[in-house]
Amino acid sequence: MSLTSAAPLLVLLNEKDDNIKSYALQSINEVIDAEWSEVSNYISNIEALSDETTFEGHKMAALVASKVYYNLGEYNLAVRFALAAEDCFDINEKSQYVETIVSKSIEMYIHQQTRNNVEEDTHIQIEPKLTSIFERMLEKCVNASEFKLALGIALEGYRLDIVERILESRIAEDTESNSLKLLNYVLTTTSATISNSNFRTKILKSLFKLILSMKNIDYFTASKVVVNLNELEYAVELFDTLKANNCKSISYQIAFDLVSSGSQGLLTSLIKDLNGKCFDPVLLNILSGLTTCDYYNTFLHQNKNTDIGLLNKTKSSLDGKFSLFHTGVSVANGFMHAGTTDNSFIKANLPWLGKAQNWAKFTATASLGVIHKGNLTEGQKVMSPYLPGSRASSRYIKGGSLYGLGLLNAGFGINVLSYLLNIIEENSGTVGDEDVDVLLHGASLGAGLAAMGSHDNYAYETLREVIFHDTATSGDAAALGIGLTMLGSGDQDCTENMSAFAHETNHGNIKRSLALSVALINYGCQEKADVWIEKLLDDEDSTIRYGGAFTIALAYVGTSNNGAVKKLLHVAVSDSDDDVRRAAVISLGFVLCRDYATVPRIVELLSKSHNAHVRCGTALALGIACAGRALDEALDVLEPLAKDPVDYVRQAALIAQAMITIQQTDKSNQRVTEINKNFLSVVTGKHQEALAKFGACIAQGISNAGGRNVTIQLENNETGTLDTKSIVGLVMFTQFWYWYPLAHFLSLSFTPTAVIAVRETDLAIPKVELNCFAKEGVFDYPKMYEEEANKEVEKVATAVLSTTARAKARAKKTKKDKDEKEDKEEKPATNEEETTDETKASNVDASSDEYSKTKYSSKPYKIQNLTRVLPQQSRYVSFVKNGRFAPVRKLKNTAGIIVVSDSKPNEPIELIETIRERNDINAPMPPPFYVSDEIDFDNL
Amino acid sequence: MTADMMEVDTNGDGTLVTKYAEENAVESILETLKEISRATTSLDSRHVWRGLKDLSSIRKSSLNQASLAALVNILYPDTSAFKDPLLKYINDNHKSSVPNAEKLRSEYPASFYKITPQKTIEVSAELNSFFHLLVQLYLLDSKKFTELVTFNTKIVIPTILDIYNYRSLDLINAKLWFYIIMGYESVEDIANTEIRSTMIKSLKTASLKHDNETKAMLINLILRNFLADGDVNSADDFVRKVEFPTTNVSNPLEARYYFYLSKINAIQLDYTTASDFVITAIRKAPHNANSLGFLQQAHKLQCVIQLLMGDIPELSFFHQKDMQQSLYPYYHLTNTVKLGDLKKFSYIISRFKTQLIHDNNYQLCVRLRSNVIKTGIRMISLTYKKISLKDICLKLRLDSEQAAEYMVSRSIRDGVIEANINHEKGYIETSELLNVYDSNNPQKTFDARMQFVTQLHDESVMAMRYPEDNKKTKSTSQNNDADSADYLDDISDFSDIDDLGFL
Repeated sequence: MSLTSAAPLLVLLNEKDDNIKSYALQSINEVIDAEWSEVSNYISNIEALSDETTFEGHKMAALVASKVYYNLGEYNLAVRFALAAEDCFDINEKSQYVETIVSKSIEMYIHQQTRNNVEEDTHIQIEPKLTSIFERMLEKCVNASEFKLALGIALEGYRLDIVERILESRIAEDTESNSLKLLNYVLTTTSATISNSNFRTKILKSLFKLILSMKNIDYFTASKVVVNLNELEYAVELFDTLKANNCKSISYQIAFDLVSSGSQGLLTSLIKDLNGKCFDPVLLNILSGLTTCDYYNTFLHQNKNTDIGLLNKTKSSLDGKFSLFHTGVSVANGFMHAGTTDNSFIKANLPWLGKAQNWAKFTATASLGVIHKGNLTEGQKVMSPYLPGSRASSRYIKGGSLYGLGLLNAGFGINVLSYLLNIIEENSGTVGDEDVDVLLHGASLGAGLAAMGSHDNYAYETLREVIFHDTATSGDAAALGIGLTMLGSGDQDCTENMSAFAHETNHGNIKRSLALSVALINYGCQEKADVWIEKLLDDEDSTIRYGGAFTIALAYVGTSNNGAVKKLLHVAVSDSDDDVRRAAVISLGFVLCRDYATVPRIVELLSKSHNAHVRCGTALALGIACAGRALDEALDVLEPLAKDPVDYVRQAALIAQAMITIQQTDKSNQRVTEINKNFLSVVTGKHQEALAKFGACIAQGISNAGGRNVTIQLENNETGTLDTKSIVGLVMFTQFWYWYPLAHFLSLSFTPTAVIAVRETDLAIPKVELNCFAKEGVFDYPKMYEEEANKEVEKVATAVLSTTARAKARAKKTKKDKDEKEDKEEKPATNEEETTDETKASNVDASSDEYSKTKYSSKPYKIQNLTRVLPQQSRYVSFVKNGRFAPVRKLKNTAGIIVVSDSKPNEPIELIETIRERNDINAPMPPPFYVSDEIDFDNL
Repeated sequence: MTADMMEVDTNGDGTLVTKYAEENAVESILETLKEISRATTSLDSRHVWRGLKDLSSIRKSSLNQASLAALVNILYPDTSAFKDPLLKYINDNHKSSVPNAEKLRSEYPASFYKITPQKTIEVSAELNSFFHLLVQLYLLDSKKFTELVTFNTKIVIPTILDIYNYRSLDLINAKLWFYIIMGYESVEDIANTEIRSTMIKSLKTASLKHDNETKAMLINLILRNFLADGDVNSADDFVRKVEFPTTNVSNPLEARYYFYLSKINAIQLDYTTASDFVITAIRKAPHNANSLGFLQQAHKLQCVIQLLMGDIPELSFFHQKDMQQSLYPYYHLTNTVKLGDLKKFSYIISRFKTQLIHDNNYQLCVRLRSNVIKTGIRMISLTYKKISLKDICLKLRLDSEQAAEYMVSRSIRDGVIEANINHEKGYIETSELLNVYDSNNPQKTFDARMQFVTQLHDESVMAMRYPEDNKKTKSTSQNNDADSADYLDDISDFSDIDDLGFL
């Protein structure tokens, strides 16, 4: 039947007889799809009918009203009436209308639940019908085996009970691997998408219980939950269970993972707790981070691939008499040798070092700490010649060495903390004396670093004492120190204090540091920090607003929170102060660091701002968010910025380029060569401003950081957690704008990229080979390196060095000294290397569409244990199948510290000596040997 | 067309024999198909848009039975559910096959195909829809209208439009709908209510899926259907309830929408709004040969609305390029209104009646009668200081003095003249002319003009697109073909010719 108009039916609605009205409604319901526009004129009549509960057709009336509103696009009303229609509304009907209503009602349900859960004081009574639709849909999903879908929707609707129920039934019914997959799915979605921290904690706790209740406990997933949860009792429970089940090797592996991804606060309290329970001392040792640091030092030392030639070149072209340049080279040197324990450059350039004046001296001394970063056992000994009480005379050296000590022990500094705090206490009586001030400056920064994230109350009070004296130099550092100590605590009292001081003090830099320490204290606090964010951003003092921008950055780091991004963008374009705008743009990089691919798009317009500070911030934001990712779009945006007319914009752009292309070879990214060339040309260029030169120098340091064995990683790939140390390092690094010595903080962000397999029995590093299923040479250090560890030739291969070679040749022409022999050797090598590189590059290029495919090769090549494995390489690396050593944990990516089990523990194998073992006078434990009882001495 | 027909039947040795020209035709269609298949992989509807742009050239050169049949045979795998129905409509139920199809098919890019849930290979949604569009065009061009209608109802609506659910199909779907209605119009079944309710349902689907182009197209077609049915009230009702999409809709569709709005409002006596809409419609419509039909109709409507509002279009309005012929009746109509000559008016109306009915403007034009009278009264009041109603009655050839009195009092109320009626003595006396500049009128007029200009400016700014950096701007060359003399004559606003660059 095709009616041209519903008018005749609509007229019936005015009849008195209920039967007629019911009939009319029935008939209208049939033609409503085509005639809704006409029916909608009578919507008030129909609504009135639906309200008359005595009228038997009121349900049908509600259904008709719902359909009208649905057609009008008023979905909320449509849902309301559909619910009122009760059984007239058939949820199982297969029509667009029902589908839409159901999806809208789920949306409504989720919306209301979110409001109930997020806003504390609101409690909306959710209609039971809405809840039942929601639950029925989830049931439908479960029945259709769409578990992930159901779990996802349940999580969005804040229905932990449903999530638990589904998971429990799955664990009971399905295979272990399948249920584990689901558990992992919930875990990743929880950490990535759930923004409400209370709910997240609840989910994680229940996940933890679920995992432990499984028959075969998957400890690694459990450890991931613990890392995300960051609560002591669960970590303890995990280790208790491990101990009870006697899984020593697994507990070692988990301990290593915790060290690399857990927070320091968790680790310290965990050690304390486990200590009381007489746990395996080896395990405690691992948890203290000593072992990890030792392995990494060994790795960095053994594989260091530093471009000494480049550094020398830079040093010679930047006059050390200027403290800016001196600082630049010191910092670059620190970066290049970060963690390698190789201070040969300093040793070789003592006269240059002597040129340093005042704070440049401070920086240079502190760079020693960067070089020895992580060398926990030897640290104090290395720094001792410079520490207070030694023969060193300059206050800058003393202060710098204390700062260096902090850098050296960053994150693992319990041992040196008391020493540093002692120094502060001893001297805090005489604040104001210039000598003491510099000393306190270094000591406060050092103490902050050593106590980072420990929330140590004693350290906090000691540092606060220093601020009370209100002296520019020491107060500044003490404020930062407090921020670092209380990192992520979200402590309200402490924040209150900091902001109160900030308003009291007259020193701009103390004010800024205090505002920044508020940011640090509120690290990761998300919505809990909103109060402070508002307060700081509304302040009339621009220095405090500056801290407000960074508070958003740190409170919402990695969350991509829409509100935060909006707020930052607003500040970035509307604030009256340049520094605040710059800070806001930089902060964007932090907030979006997980969603790094979107950053170039978001900041692209800002990069064309007329305001140089905004442009500068854009560059750094890109560098931070895309650090180590080699994202082409980001480089596109940075390219014009690197040629900006304003010197500090160029500086920031160069640094950002280095951060993005860190560890890239010209084979993996064509532009690296050009970028590196540019660094050198800026450093050596006559017409470049000093600031740009400084930037280029630091950039060189970054791109060759840690002997080219480290990268900058903000997110831990395995657990999906953010790397707090890296983030703090970057935040502090960006403060170099005001205070150059803070540039050293970037060393905290360096993550070694190594594969380190350790034996479960004695945690020694056996010399084994691993398979790498990739084309040889794509990820490798350039070829020459493997044949002979000749740094000169190696440096040629990265093409930066070819320019160096050419520059050298030029220098030689003019000066005509230098040994020609070496050069002659070098040149043919250069050419050869370049040609091979080019052919390889063109091979890769030819099929760059399927980049990963070209990298993959079915025939593996061997790589050694304790060598560099780039993050993008790790998925091609695996242990030799059925080999002697097998990893305790099976994973897609092979990188980091891996505990392996030895199938033939009795056979001897060559071990790699770690730095600590080498330096330890109390000779290392000899490799265990076994004397079998059968040997009878009588027969000998 | 059949002169150099390709042999689609197999020869004895089973080789494919094609004539050169036909091979070219197949090649050129294939090129377009490749462009469209890029949308499948890139999810960028720009490729579809480009593909649709090729339609006009394909239609002119390559669209014939032979090439289509060959393409279906090659492109569609034998398992495809679409193959047989398509061939049936292309080949008039004759069977045909192309050998080596399997081999040729295997050379096509993988993006041409997708795998169905039943594990069979099927042509991708984008290509399939596009191909049905080609068949529609072919049937239309070869004047097989009844086949077109059945093809639409049996194949296109149930198997294409109702089934596929991809955003990339938006543009193609809009076209398919256009030709479905073209089919009905070709068989003179314009106000088909069945298709209207189908369209209303599809409109809901389209708006749920945010297929803006399809949604806009459907709204237009539904309005057209209502108007053809003479159901202006329903049309008005409908327009009030739906929201015409404003983003991602091509300008021509918007223009057409405003045209219909204008028509509805004009019929409902809201001339000011109608005038605004028709001006917008003319402004939004592309001004090229392809959209000429639409422009002609819009200008006619504009002319009538202006007359109804009491304005007289400028003479230049009737002398626009390509418009003289079609605006000829309206020129005469305007003349009579201007002169206020009722007799001539009746003559003109009766003389051009068929044409006006054809334009759907007859109803509106008849309403002009009172305007003619008003103009007459105005002329009289300008000429005479004082005149008796009887004289007016005679001069205007009205039926009675009462009628004259009524008309005069209405004119006074509407502000056409400034006069007083002396009812006892039966005369009117023109009062002193007011100085317009003493009143608020100039201010109001000025305000109205300013508003129009600023609105125009705002709309233009919003419609602007800035070229992206580093990326080549798309070549938006319009194909300026086919401006032969035929078009200068009267064309219906809904001819399918205007779809070339226009829909």
